[in-house]
Amino acid sequence: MKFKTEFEAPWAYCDNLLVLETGEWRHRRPIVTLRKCSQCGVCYLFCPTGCVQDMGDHYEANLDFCKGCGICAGLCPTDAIEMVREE
Amino acid sequence: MSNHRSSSEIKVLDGNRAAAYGAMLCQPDVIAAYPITPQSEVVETLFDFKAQGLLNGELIEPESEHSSMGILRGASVAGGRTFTATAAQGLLFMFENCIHVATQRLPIVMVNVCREVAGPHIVVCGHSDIMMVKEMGWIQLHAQSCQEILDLILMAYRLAEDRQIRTPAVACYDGWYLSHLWEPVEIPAREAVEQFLPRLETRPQVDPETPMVFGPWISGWTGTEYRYKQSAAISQAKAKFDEIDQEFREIFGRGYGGQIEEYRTDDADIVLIAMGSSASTAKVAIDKKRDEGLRAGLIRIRMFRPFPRERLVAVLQQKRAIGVIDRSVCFGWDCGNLFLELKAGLYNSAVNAPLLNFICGLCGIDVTTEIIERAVDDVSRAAQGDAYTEVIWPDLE
Repeated sequence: MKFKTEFEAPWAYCDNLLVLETGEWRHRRPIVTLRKCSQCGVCYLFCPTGCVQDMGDHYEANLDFCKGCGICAGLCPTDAIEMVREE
Repeated sequence: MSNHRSSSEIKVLDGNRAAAYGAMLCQPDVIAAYPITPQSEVVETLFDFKAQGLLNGELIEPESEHSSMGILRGASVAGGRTFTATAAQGLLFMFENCIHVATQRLPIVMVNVCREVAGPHIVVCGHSDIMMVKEMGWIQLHAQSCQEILDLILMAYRLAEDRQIRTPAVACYDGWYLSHLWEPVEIPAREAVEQFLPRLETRPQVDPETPMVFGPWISGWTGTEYRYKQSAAISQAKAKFDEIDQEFREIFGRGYGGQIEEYRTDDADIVLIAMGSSASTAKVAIDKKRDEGLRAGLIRIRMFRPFPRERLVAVLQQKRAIGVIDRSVCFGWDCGNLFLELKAGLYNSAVNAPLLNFICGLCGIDVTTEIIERAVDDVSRAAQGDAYTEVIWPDLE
């Protein structure tokens, strides 16, 4: 019998965990218009992947993990985020 | 007799209180349990023990059985010894976490006070609740007396925590017939229990320096690997249970026979097979039939999962007919669950005798000596070559 793990049950050391770069799934990206951003942080709070970062003067998605769902753009009270098709 | 026996004490307890004493003697680090008929006195007595300072661990009454098992899942991963008790609908509510902890190979011990699952809306004895656990990867043990309930909890921990096994175990006893039956019970001394059940180092070790994840997303191949390892580990519990029973006898002065208890089977021509409280009634009936000159014996199933196939085949080889008393129904097979398991277990074995199934004692009906005597008579006639009905429902005749 060939085994792949040393464990008898679904346990794993965290450093062996596979972290997926979910940004590869994206077909549209959020673009922030800096002058419109009021830094309210709604996008930061509601991003399902938790990839929105506080840049000091505005918020921006980490594109390695942003799946392009558009929830930030939909919720932004000042319409500062626009979803643009990935080319 | 060992010294430990002399420092034990005898109390008159019902099955539920005996279970609470059993759990208390094992000193779980975390107990999470929700009261349900006919198990409630287990939880009540544990709270009494806590109030008296007899329990050192955490005792939690969550809002449901689902949460009970969820709490134990976390506590067990953290390396704690854990305990819970439930019955029927409570057991059903726990199922999702029951399967998680089995796959996670967490050595949790649970007591199930066997009760017919509603519907029909009743809260009486039957094995319909616990039979649903047979495919969940739990070790399943059944007691026949209040003393055995206490003892079985100690043995269940030994099996569950064994390094080669590491599988949750459920110790079962019949609702009302045992949960509310008062009998003298010997409470072993705590030092003797600690000798029998030492604390083992847990695996994996939860250590903040080496973060681990329990229950990560896995591939089909690793999932298959875990299933294979789980299946192999559970099977090891069979021989181990026989060993543990022997060790128990050496320390406490009493044993039960391990996976199965054999009662007057040595020279028996016909054998009945039963599980739980009906087995003690069956012994009375077997004695009576012996007095009438019939060579009858009884096998009591103590371990239902894993199924004690090898031990059963060894005892049944020379027998001329076999009868199985079942307190549950296996839908789609038109027979009882124990009967189905036995029949599958005897395939390709040296046993080739008529097998009869008696489905009785469902929904709280008493399994009386008269019913068992009638079963012995039916099996006896089949042994003589008479035509027989395979599955009989005596309570409907």
